[in-house]
Amino acid sequence: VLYKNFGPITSKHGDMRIFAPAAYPLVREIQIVPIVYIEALALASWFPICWRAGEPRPTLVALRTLRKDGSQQPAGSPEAAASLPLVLRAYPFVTPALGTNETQDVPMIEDATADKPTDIGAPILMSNGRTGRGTEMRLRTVAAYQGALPLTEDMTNMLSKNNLLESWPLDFKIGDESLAVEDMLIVRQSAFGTAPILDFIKTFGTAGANLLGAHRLSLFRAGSLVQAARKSSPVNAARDQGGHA
Amino acid sequence: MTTTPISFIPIRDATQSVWRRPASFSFASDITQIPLADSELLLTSHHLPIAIDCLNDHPRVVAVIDPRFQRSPAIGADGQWQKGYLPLALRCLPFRTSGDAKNSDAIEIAVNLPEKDEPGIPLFSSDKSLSPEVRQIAGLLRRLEDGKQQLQKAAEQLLIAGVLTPLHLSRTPDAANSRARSFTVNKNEFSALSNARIALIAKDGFLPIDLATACIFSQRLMATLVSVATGETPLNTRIAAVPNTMDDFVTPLRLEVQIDDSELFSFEQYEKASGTK
Repeated sequence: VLYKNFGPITSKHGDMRIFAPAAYPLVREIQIVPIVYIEALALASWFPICWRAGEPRPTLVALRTLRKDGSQQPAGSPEAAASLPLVLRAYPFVTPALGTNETQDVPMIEDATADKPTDIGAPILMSNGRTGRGTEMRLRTVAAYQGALPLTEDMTNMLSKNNLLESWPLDFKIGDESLAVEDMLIVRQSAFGTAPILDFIKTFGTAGANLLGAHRLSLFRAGSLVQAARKSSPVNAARDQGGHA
Repeated sequence: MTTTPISFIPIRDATQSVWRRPASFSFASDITQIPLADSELLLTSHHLPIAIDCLNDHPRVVAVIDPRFQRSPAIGADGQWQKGYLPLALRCLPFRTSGDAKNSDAIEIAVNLPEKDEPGIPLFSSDKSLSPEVRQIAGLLRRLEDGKQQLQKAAEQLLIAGVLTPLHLSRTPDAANSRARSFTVNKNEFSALSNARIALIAKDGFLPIDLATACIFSQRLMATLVSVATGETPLNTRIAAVPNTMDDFVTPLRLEVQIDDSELFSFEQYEKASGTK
C-alpha cells in the first residue's frame, strides 16, 4: 500500500512544505514499487525490473530489496535521486492510479511526515499563490507516470494473456535467515526469439522492445540484492564485528 | 604508458610444460577494447561501455576498456581488474585462438605475460593431448568465438537499420576530421524505428534488441567523457508528450555521443600484430 491518508490539495496546504523524497519513510522503506515502461531502462542499473502477480493483471515493478522492511537496498538507494521510481520521486503527491480509481481533477497529497529531512524543504504554494518549483516537478512526475500507465498495462496484458510470464522464485538462505520474495514474475526466457515475443514487438514497437531489453538486463541486479542482504545478515554482521555466528 | 606487446605462439610449439594465470592486467593498458560473446553481453553492459567496432565493414561487438571512455578505469594502477565482471577473452588468458577454435592446433599461448606466483598447471596430459584444464579453457574459447559471431550478426542488423552513431572523443584537435570506427546505438533513431522494422530486426532472434539495449544502457558509463548533444526538445514539452524513457523525463540523455577513436585499435588486431605466427 503506497498511500494511507491522502486528499486533494486545498488552501489549507498553503503553508505545508515538501522535502526531498528520501526524507519520507515510505520512500525509504517500500520494498516493491510499481513502475511504468518509460523508466524501466533507467532503473535497470539499480534493481530487477519484473512483474508482481495480481488482479486484474500483474503489475510492472522494481524490486528494491529482498527485505520486506525495505532495508539493505543496493548502495546509493534511496538517497540517489536516480534510484527512485517515478511514484517515489513524486511523493508525497499521490499518483491517482495507485491511490483511487476515481478521476481526480485536483492533485492529491499524502498526509506524510518527513522524519529525516535533509534541508528546510519548500512550500507547496508560493506566497503569490502559485505552485512552487518542487511542486510543479512532482506533479509533472505524477503526470508522466499516469501518461505511460495505459501502455504499460497493455504490454503487461499481452504478456500475461499469451502466457509469456512465469514465476521467478526468489528464496535465499542467508546465514540463518531465509529470505523470500513471493509473487514475482519474469518473461519466460525460452520465449525470446519465438512468435509470441515477435507479436509483442510488432504490437508495441521499440517501446515494447526496450521494455523487454531493460527487463532482461535488470535481472542481473538480483545478485546485488543478495549481496546487500548478506551484508545485513545477523550472522555476517556478527562476523564483521569479530563476533561468532 | 606503453607496454610490451603480447606475443603468442601455437600451444604445440610452447617450450614450457606448464602455464600460469597472468599476475596482473597491466599489459592491457594499451588495449582499448575487448571482444565479447553473446552470453556475456548483458552482464558486461552493467560494468563496461558496449560499442560496435566497424573495421573493414565487419562489425564486432566489444567492451570498451579505454580509460578515457569511462568514469573509473577498468584496470587499477596495481594492474588489478577493477570492474565487477571480467570478460571471457581476458579470463581465458594466457590462451587465445587463431582461427578455428574447434581445432586444438589453433590454440595459442602468450609467452611474455607476467605470471602469477603459483604452481604451474600442465599444458598437456601424459598422452600428449591437452590437459583437462586447458581443454576447459579451449571450450570457453570456442564459446567466445561462437558468441562473437552471433553478436556480429546482431550488429549487422543494427548497421542495416541505420541506428548506429559514431563515437568521437571530444576536446581533441582532430576529432572532427577523424573517421570513426567505433559506434553505439543512437537512442532517438532506434526509438523512431517503425513497428514493422523493429519486428524485422527481431525476426530471427532477440539478440539485436539485446545489443541495442545494452549499447544504450551502457552509455551512462561514458558520462564524463562524452559531449552532450544540443537541440533536444525542451524538458516541459517532452513531459507533456509523455517521454519514451525516464531518461527523457529526468536527465537529458547523452545522445550523439562524441568520442574520438583516432587511437582506438582492435584487441584482435593488436594481438595479431604483436603475436608470433
